Amino acid sequence: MGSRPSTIIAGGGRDRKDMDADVVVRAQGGDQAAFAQLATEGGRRMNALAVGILRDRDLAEDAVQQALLSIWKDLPQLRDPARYESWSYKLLVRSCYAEARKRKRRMVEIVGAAEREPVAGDEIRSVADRDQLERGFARLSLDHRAVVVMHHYLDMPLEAVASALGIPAGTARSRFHRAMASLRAALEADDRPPRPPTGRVTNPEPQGVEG
Amino acid sequence: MSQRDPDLRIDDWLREELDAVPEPTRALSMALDAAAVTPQRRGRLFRLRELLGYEPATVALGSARHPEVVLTPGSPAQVQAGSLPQRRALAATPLLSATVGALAVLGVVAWLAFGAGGPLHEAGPAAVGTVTPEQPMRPLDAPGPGRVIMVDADRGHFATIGGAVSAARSGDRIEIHPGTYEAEVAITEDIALVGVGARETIVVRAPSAGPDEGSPDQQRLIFTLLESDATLQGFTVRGAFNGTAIKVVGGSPQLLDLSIDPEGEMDAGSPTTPRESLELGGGSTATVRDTQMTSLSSVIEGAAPLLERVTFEQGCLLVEGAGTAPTVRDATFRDSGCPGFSISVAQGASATLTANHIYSPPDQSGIRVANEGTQVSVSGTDITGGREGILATAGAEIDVKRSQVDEAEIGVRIVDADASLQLNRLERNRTGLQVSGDSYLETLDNDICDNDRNLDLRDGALVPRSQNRVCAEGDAGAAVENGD
Repeated sequence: MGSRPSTIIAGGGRDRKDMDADVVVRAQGGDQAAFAQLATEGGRRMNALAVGILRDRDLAEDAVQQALLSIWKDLPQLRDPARYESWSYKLLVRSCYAEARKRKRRMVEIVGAAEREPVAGDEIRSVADRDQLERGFARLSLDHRAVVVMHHYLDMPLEAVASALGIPAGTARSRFHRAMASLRAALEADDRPPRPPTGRVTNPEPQGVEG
Repeated sequence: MSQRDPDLRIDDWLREELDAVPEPTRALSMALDAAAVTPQRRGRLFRLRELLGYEPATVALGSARHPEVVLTPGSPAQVQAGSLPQRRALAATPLLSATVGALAVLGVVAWLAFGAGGPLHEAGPAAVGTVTPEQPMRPLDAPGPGRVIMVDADRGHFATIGGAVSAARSGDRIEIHPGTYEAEVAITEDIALVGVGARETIVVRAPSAGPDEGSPDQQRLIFTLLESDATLQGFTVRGAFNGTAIKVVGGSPQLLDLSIDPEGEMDAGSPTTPRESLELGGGSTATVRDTQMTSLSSVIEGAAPLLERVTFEQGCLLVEGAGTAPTVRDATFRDSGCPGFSISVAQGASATLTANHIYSPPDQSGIRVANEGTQVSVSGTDITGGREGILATAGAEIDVKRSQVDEAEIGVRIVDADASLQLNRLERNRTGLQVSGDSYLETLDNDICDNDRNLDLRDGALVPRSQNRVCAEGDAGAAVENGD
């Protein structure tokens, strides 16, 4: 895998701030203003994570809403205020899963892609990339999208992603590996000239395995 | 055509897409409204909302256990006796018609608030209707810290567990003296039910079948703990018919030093429907410790309990559904009587299995992990015998560390699943490690030795990183590599 671009502002784009542990502690004690600060400062990033996972802005906002309610409810049980951010992401991912289960409606593409103006020249490349990536990303499972967004967009190391998701580091790596392989394949499919489809030879299903 | 690194193109695209996502104004507004609820009330309000399925803002204030709820004379709250299914049906009636939220709450609370049951010499379930709570045989202390309520057929405050539970309030301790009691009790208070004496001498079982409840298929619950932090300790719960001995919905109860066993022999002809010793759900974070379960399955769905030093004799554990995340530590599973496994984690559940001991019959899997979204961490566990020590399949993810599998047909079998194996010993199995299908495997520092066949890596599986010791067959020190 290639190195990540160094020019990107670290930490999920435009509004990255480290949460102040003092604010978390005050919110744990029931300080509504402190909670409002946490919710407001982290809200857009949470929404971006949820949109990345769910690919549906309405569902994403429902998930953020539920996550914020859970945060408010469970905040007193958070032992280490310094871990607020990853803890909040964990609750958010859980809410995303719940929303996805609750409303099994067709996932829609992120609003915006279809509204862009046509471009010419070198930019055709990026438009084609975008189309391929959108399709490739939509095909990923929620689990895989969560890892990709947290690692690539929120700039969390995979170990931190694993911790936030409550999964082993090896699992986070395997999800990331699979997701990136799938996205790269989506790009490469567009880079290559068309060719006849080839079948993949696989072993027959082993006997005795239960699903 | 652009030759930029694909990963950079992916990164650029993702940032562009997600930077365009706006503030979640509706979610923020709702959350900030919620913050206006006082911290003291918020947990209970949310729990109640989850129970009822609608916003608790419609609920009036009152009552000891649920301050948000008013109990009104003449309301369905007076329904308090009869079998649990009967009470549940009655309580559900206003819920079904739930046009008026408060009435539905009253129905639920009627079910939450009272228990029933009695010793063997009593008649069957009492009639349903407006019933006066069981009166104590001798005066009770006024409710207060440390109050003790004694259950004993002759010299207790109550001869029945149901009577004692009905009279108890949070903080009370109910002491159950030796004897055999019938009970079908719903507990909502944070009370302690403690056996006084050897747990084998204190037996709590479901009520005898009434004239309409004689079918062996009748579902019975002995203890239902609903949003309670109660403690059950030091007695035997004997399952009857095909019911559940202890059902936990929400709360953080403690189940300590219990023995849960079936009434009589298991149904010889229906091995696929074992009766349940435990059913944990509703977001419960229960603790189950130093408890033995015999010939019964336990089900965890939608809960995150801790099971510690629990012994399953001829029983098994099913962990199912997203949002389910138990920790099972230092448990022993012997001769599973369930079809196919000792522990099954599936349908999006996650589980942490630490320092467990599993002894499997030849046709069983020790640990079976299945379905996408299912994620299991196994460490410090030893598994002996069985068809597979560990089977991960159908898109599941498993992480196995510092564990040992021996004398199985296949030590670890990965089929269409992702796995990470580190510092394990797979020895004396027919096949040590088998990976096939669309699988992804990370292995590091495993000893895969003295198996009839150490490795069976089939096409399609990815094993990108390996520094394993594969012994015998002249292969000592060989690494497993078939590319990334």
